[in-house]
Amino acid sequence: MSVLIIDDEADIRLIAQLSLEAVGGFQVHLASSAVDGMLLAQEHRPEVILLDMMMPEMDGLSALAEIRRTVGISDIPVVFMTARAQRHEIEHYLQMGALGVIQKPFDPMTLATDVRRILLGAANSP
Amino acid sequence: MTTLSKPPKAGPIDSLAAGPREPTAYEVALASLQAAYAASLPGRLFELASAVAAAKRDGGRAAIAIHLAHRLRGSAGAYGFVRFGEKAGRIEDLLIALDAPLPKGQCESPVKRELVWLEIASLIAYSETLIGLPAQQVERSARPSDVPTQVIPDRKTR
Repeated sequence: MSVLIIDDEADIRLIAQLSLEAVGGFQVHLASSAVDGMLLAQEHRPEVILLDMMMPEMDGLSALAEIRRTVGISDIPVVFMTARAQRHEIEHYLQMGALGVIQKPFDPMTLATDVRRILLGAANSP
Repeated sequence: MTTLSKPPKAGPIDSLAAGPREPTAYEVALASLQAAYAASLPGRLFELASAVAAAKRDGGRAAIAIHLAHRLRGSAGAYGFVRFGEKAGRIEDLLIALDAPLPKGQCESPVKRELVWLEIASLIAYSETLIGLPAQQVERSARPSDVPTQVIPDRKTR
């Protein structure tokens, strides 16, 4: 399974990559901005995109809207990663088209399981 | 002299003598990332403390301090520094509250604001102790590289 991580913070990209590759067996692509991430998404067609919510140039919601408008990647599931995830915010993100939300800080031991659970939950939902 | 036809089964003492198992490649890589992150924490806290001080001087324009606290909130826990990350999160929340525009017609209470700044200062001081710095060392330190870097995460990651 391949995943694209879009996060402006190198520390998050590093530990998420280690976690998803070593613990989860994912193939991981990394981008530090939404624009770079969309280019990588077009190139690699990952099965899921992990998208940071708060980024300086384009935030997660704007990036999600852009992904949904972009031919070739519009159908790739997007999971938000955010350090500020109150219930109403999570509901809003889901309404806007996110498949799920992973709260930061995540546990590197369970990140891969969390991603799989979200994808599985979506696959099993009616 | 006693001769054994076959070696005895390994007992608990033998297993202990065998020593701990070799760490996995993942554990080695994680430990290396954690060490690098830990080494960066005093510098990051110094940066945050400086940004908070600047925000207070500017009368509460705290965008930079909020950004720095937010980053620590999101990353520290993933590297095992759970309590440090929680304190950063509280600092972020307080800074956002200070930065928020007041509802129309409402007067700002200077005393209340000062209390929030005091809470932020005490959270920074407490965070220093969480990463093994004596309180106030971060503010005194001129360069991040001057401060000690051996810090142990408070959550064991396997």
